[in-house]
Amino acid sequence: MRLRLFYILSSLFLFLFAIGELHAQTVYKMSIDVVDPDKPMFVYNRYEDEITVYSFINKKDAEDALKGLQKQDKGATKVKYASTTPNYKGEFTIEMYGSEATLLVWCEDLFISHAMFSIKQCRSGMKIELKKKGKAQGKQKLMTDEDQRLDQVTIDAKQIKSTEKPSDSVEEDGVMTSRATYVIPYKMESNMRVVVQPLWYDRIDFSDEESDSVFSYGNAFFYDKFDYNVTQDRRMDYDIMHDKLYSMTLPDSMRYYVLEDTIRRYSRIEFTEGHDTIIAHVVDTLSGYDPNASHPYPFGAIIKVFDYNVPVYSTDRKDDGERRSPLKFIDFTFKEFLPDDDKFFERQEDVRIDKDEELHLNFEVGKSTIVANDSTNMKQLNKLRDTFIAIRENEKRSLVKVEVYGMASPDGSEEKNKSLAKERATYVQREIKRYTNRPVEIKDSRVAGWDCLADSLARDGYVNEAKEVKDIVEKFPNNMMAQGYRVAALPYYKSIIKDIYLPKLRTVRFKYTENYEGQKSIDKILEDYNNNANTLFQRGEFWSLFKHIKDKKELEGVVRHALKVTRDTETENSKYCDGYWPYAAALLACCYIARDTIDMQLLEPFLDYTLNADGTIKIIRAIKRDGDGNAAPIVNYVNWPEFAANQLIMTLKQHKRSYKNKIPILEGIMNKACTGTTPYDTLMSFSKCLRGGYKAGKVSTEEEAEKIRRVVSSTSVTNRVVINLAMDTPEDADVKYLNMAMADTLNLPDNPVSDYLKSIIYFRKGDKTEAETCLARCFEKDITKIAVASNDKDLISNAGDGYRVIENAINVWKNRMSDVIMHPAMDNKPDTVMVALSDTTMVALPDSTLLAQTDSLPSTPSKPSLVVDEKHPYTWYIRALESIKKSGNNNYEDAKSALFKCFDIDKRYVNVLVVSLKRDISIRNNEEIVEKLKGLLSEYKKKSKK
Amino acid sequence: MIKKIFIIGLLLLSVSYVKAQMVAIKSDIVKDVAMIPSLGTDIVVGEKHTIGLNLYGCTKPWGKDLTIMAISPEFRYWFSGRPFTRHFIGFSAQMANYDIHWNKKIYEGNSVAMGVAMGYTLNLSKRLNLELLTGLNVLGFKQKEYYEGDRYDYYGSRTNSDGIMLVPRIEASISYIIR
Repeated sequence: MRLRLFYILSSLFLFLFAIGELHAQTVYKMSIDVVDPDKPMFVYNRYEDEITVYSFINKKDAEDALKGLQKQDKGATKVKYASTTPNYKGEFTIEMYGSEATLLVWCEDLFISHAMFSIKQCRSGMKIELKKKGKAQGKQKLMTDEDQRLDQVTIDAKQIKSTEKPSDSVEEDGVMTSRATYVIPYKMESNMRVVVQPLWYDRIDFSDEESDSVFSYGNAFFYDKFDYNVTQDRRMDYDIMHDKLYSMTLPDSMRYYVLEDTIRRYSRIEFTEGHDTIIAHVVDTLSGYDPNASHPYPFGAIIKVFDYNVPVYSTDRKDDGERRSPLKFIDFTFKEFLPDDDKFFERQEDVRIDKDEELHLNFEVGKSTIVANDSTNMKQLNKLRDTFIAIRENEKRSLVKVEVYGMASPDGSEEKNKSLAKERATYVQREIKRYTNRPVEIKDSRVAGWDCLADSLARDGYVNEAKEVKDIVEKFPNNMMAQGYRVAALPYYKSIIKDIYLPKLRTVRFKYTENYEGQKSIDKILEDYNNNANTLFQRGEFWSLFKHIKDKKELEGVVRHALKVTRDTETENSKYCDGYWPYAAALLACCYIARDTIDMQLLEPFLDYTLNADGTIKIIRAIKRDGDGNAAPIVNYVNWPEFAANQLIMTLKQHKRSYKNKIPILEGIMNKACTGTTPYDTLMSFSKCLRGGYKAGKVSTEEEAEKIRRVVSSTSVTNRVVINLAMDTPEDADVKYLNMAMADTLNLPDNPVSDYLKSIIYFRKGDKTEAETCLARCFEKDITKIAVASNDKDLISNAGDGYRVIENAINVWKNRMSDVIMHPAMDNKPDTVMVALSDTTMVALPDSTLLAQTDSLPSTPSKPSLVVDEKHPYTWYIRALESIKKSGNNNYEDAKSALFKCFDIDKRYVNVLVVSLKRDISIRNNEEIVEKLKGLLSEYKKKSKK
Repeated sequence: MIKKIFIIGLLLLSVSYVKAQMVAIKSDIVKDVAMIPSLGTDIVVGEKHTIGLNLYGCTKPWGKDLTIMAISPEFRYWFSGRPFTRHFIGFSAQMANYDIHWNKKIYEGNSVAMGVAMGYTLNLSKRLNLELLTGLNVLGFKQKEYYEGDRYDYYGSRTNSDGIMLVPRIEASISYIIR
């Protein structure tokens, strides 16, 4: 009986356990929106620290807690069952327990109402609206950088449909961040997963979207429905820790991953469920691209829905690659920081020089006396004398020792030759001793072998003869006599060997070592330098030389040479400096910066980016030794501020992300080395500004940001306008910064950048006509800005009407250019008149032509005669466009030749045409013309590749 | 003989250290309610395949004088692409030894069965599943069949009855993935 009962209960328990799991607690995933009654279509998403959601076991607890919160009683919510705060999109998940569970949504802002719901009213996916009670007092920060505004929201039975929003790409400091919302219109079953793979494309040919190549992949994220989620690890051999997609579920702190050279990248996708849809909110960053490139980097995603086995739905998205770069026109020109002469002074040191010279004296045959009155001998002996007298008479030079080496030719008796060699060396020794008291030693005297003769012959091109001699030597090794007989028997012995080559073997060499005292005079240094630019000076001599070279290019060459030849091989491969002379490296860096060139490796040996254990910047001290090996005063060799400053200038100019991670350390080095106001302040402000420090955030606090803005703005009017435009965001309700930028338009210099900035200002102010005019003026001055403007989100309307400033600006530009290419004829003879070919083009024709066609052509006889500038590329550009609009092969050929001529004169017009294919209203709507022009473009590109 | 197989099967059940494969244990509620406790194990052997071994047996359930011991290996193919998930088809065999006293008759013998079954697994949580199965087995038996008063044992262990029959199979199991 008991056993029976046991079986019943246990099986019942098993059954109920399974089903019972579902009903103990209910978990809901809901979201909150705050609706502004002033703008009913405008919905704010609130931050987590302002709204709290509580769940209570019963309604009474909830009501008591509400009363306590309204009285600002801190212990009001003690009785809660659970609480949570919504994320930045207003979404939250909360547990509710019991049949009478009640939800309370409470906002810290007393102008926002609360909301209370019973468990019966709650369901997953529900949207809770909190109403704003009247106008807010003062300025309330309701939006943040990460908020997504839902401009079009329809509420349908408490489910929200979000419209898909185009991506918003912002570029800052070489990193592009893109935010997009994609709606996936597929009803997912429980056993499905959606994967979103963000992509960055590279559109080098920005007339042709088909030519896009994938530049970089972002992190792929997935969203699993319940069944897929719980059964994922039931697959054979599946290990969730090795699933790359799973790693994306790690917390934010672990979601950064490191590519080469510590490039950090952030990406995040969050999913929300809509009615029959899944909405993916994507944030991704791109670095390592060329921020100066005018072509776009479109952002998009591949989206696929999978069930357990196969993809069931696939779609993709791609935007136009337009981006906002708030600081793109910031005027960043920095003068190089020259190394301090006092700190880097190099004293010239004594130098020991070894020299090796040969004397070719004509000795009497078989004797150790020289041939008398021989001019060669006289010259050689004079040279010898001059050498040693020069040393003797120069106070700074002192002879250390001399070594003499004698050599005799191998013809004749070996013994005799040996003693002859010695005697000849002795002769020279005696000669030298006449000029010096220093020891002169006969180091070696020997007989040259016949193989030496063979080498001499070979060197001078007597290859066969050399081979024959060599064969003889090999045939009779160690037998000079036999070798000599055989060589003497050679047919060319007398003519070549005896008369020419044997005398060459009768030489005496001498080697001497001298000391040269430092402090070579600058005249001597310059003299040596002028004689031979590659002279091996010592550091102190180079230091003096640098001061006297005025030409920058020449100086750069000398400094580069100095850096190479003064490398200390003893400290080569050491951790710091690597044996290189710091001063030369610093000076070379200055030369590079002065001509806008960068070399990121040059100053690396002098910078240490690692931190001390306490997190402070390192300052390395190395001991400098004097010539006697004694320790001299301690000198810093690494992490000098000038080095850091120059390296920072070069780092800011290049765009590789990996180097930019070192910027905070470089700033720290400059900070640590100097206190108070330093010459590096402006540079550091710029550096922080370029990293986004002009506004409060990760890089700087509000106070620091204000200082940075002040410093950067003070450098030039252009920078002031750029900063104000960067600070002008849609949240800035009183458009303070935009007004300041507007006020500065009168002070901007007259250049294309100023016109571009004015265009942005007027566009934001709502004056489209003026914006178009300014942009057209900018294009007129700098044609390359057309490509920049075509990708600039600052010149595109946010209202969703698709308006772009560039489209009309191109027309205005064309009208202006038609005036530019006309100028008065040189002799002003009225033999040419203006004839209108089209609305935009006028051409000068000779008067006779006009007379023949007077009836049919309009003329402007009152105007002075004008001619078209045939050298201006625009002339040919517009002719090409006019011709291509007409049908017929002739017109096509005319267009082709005109276009090619235009490109040959100015290659930049290639990009102008590419942009015009999409943005010139007069061209882009006509598919036939677009195709023809694309064909011409690709023809031209093929032609120029050849 | 069957008892030895039963014991070996019991030992096999305890061996669950199969590298990287998922292992689940289960118990059939239908049998449990009938006081025939059952215990089985399933091991994932492929992307869509599992093999299992089930043991069940009883002694005098509900006061009835019957003893059954059975062992049943089974191979399953999962259509969904994930083991222990959704639809499957199973091919099983069964060996049983029984001694049943029923209506004054005694049936004592061994049976062997093979069959096919279709089922559906509901995922209740990450590890807990509810399996519902129905199928048909072809069962062959060889037994001693005699009346209670008969002293059939005097005549040795000869069987006197055999046959083949179709046996339906209905199961509702709770399975738990243990690794």
